[in-house]
Amino acid sequence: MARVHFERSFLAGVMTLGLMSSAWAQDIGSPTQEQLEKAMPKPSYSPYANRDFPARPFFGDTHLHTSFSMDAGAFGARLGPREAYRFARGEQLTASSGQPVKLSRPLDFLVVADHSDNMGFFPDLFAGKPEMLADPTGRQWYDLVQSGRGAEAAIQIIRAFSQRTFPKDLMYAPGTRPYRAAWQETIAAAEQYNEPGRFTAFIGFEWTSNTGGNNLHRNVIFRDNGDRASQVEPFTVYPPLGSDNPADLWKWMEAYQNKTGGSVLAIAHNGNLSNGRMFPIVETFGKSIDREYAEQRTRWERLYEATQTKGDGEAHPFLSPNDEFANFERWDFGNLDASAAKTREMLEFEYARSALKNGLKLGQTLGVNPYKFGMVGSSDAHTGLAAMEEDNFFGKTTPQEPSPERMLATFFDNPQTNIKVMDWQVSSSGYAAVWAQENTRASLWDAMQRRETYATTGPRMLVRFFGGWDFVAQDANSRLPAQTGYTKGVPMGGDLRAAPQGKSPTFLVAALKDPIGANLDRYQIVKGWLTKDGKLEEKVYDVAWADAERRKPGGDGKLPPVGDTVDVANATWTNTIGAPELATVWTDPDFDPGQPAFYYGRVIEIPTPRWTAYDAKRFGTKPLPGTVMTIMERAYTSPIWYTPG
Amino acid sequence: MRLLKEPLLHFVMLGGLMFAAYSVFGTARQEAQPQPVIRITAADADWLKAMWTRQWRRPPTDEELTGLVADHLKEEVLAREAKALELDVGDTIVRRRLAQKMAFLIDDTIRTTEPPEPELRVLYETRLDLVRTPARVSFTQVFFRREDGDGRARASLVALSGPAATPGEEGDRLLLGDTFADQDEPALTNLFGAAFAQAVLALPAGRWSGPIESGYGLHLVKVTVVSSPQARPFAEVRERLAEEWRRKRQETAQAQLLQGLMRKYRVVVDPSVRLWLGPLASQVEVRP
Repeated sequence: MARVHFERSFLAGVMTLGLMSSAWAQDIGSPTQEQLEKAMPKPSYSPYANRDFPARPFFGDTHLHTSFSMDAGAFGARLGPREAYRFARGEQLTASSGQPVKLSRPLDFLVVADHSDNMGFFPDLFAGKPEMLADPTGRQWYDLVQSGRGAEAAIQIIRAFSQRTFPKDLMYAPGTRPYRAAWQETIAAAEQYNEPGRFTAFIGFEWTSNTGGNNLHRNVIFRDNGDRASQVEPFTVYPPLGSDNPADLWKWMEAYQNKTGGSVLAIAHNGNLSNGRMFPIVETFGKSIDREYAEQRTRWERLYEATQTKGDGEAHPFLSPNDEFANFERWDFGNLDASAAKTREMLEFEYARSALKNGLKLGQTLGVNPYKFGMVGSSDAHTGLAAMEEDNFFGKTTPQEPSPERMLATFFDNPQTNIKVMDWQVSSSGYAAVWAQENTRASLWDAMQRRETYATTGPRMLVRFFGGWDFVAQDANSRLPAQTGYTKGVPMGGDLRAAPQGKSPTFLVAALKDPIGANLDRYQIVKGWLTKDGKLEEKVYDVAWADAERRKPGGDGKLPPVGDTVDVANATWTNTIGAPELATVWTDPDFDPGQPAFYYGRVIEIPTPRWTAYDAKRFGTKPLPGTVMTIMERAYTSPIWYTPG
Repeated sequence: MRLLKEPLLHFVMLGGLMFAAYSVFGTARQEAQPQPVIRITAADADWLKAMWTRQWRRPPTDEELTGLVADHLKEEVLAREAKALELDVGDTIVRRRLAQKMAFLIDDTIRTTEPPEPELRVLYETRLDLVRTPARVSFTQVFFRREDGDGRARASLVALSGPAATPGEEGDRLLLGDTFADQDEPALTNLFGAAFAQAVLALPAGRWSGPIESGYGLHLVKVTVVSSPQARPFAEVRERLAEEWRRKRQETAQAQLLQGLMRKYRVVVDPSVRLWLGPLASQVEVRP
């Protein structure tokens, strides 16, 4: 931008001089057109020179647990952080269940995010360290695991932790030797496998606030290398050292940055299991939601994990009854440990879309929008394996690694709350896509910080989303739409500048299918806005779709379905419907410059077999009634916001 | 009576019976032997202090330490007596714990072992995947949507082979872009799929080839620069090779050691178990 401005003023100056030239022109001669053109900077021959915007997305997982997480270990995970990084880099490994496993292609980055409370607890419990066996509860868990009832132990451990009955003597707390050893090993693993330009191994941990079983978890990701990260130990939840209040996590993050000069960010996840507490609008932890809360939250929590194995968190059909794609991989039975059931009034404070909407309103009343977050997907797998492809799904926990029984098994069953979740309901999702210049900790982290990210439920589709005031139809047909996008607008995660008189925002959108995946059905833009009388509204627009010659929106404005080629019995599909690429420029037809709004892209694939279909085919297992066997995979971009000036 | 079903009660009663039996029948023998010694050393006391400190995050007071020493002595006496009574025999937990300690011993030994230099040199020669930089390729591509793509691609190939050809005017737009610099096989696989990556890495430089198929459609490709794999210097990859050596050693060491230990024993198996011997069959005797 600065250069364009400089060129214009320089040209103007030259022209002014030309007009009053006669006097000095005698001395040095008048410049000819040719001379002037040579003096001007020209667009380079190579369209790629001077191009410093991100050219491709990097795919990874910001949320993977290994045996260092106590519940993962109890569920039988034996792979540690080193194995997790090796697997993500594309190596073949033997899973904890004894089967060989390999990704279809390497991931570009991985965050091993083990629970900070009791990090390293389980490898020591498994090893039967004397300190563990000295405690009666430790002894009981050890014996359960040793007698092959690890899953039972895992559930007891999770329950004890979330209900605050975990034996004090067994806590692995910061400051103790075994805890320090586990954290140093986590760092050492990341340092060993981080290879700038090729594979990024982030240092990170999960802060697992889970009081009463209500999920307020955050993953903390370091921009820094081990020299800084090892100056601290992760923030935990258990008092007195830790806290279950996110505000205290933010203080810890600030203290880390002050102490080391480093940078950290946090990503919240699974609002759907928070029973109405993830995105509060009135009060939280006994304190009302005020400007300070909003400032801190939006400062530290730049992204939200909108899809993962424990269900999708973008939208809920109760909140978005007109969105026919909202009922997707739904987990809305209750909280994380199934100790309290869900009620409808909780939903609004759990899903990304409603939070983005409430954020607009809070932004107006508080002056700062606390819920101005971008989107990523990640696995939350507790296996050390970021294997989230439908045809290569290695489950959320070790007992859910492939077996003839896994789609028949029960995940949670709490007769007191009447909550029962089956293993087939676990979702093979997702990954984080990051638009970074290069594959390094710094570049990827900076892109996360500026929210230039999108969530996918597993496939690695490429999704562009730019907003501006001047996009025109042919921008979508140019050879390099991204160049136009960055020049004339802002990418996903950004803010529209003030509305020029009489203009509506325009969006340059484009998506390309996963090179080994399914075709695309449609590209949608989800808009949320705040009306003058304080009402929050939302609308989903179909903006680009495949097979347009035979698919026209009906009288209700709805686009007919793309079709379905899935052969469930054989777990196959064909790319005979849908399109490999979608691109268009869309102008908001309902824009009001006085109303705050956000826009984000949602890209939907044609139907493909769900992991359950591959299981049924490969193991010959007969699915339980009601098992979902097909899926329409998708991507959610970070929003672009409009705030009236 | 629930109390009668308590395993702990059984244990205590059984222990009591044994103790009674032992004190009656064992007295004579005990008198004939020298009294066994239990030593409590300074190291033991330090260890007790350290364990306490780890658990409570403060050192024990003198009073607490007195308690710890008494407990330690009590535990030691009971443990020795239990061993003398062979109470550890047939206890699954004790057995498993001992077996685990052996396994950890082996793992720990390897983790701290420095691999012998000649073996690293062998790895350097044989594990080219760890030693070499990957082959990299720079190229320009022209994309064609699959519908009618093949004919258009072939026509373009002819046009592009002419002297004044400009690829920018041929084919369809691909969102990934048209020019790619310094890509290795994994990177290309991520962008275009494995078949395309392999095909491009095998192309001759300097001229247009294709059409090559990818998940998106068809591509004409002109490779501009190929850098073939280079072996990195030994010093640069030494740590990586050492890590690999340790990893492999850990995998095999347990199995090897077990094999060696097995040879110390004659294993006699009842014929009824024969069916489940599997590969062990060659190492055991089957006899009633």
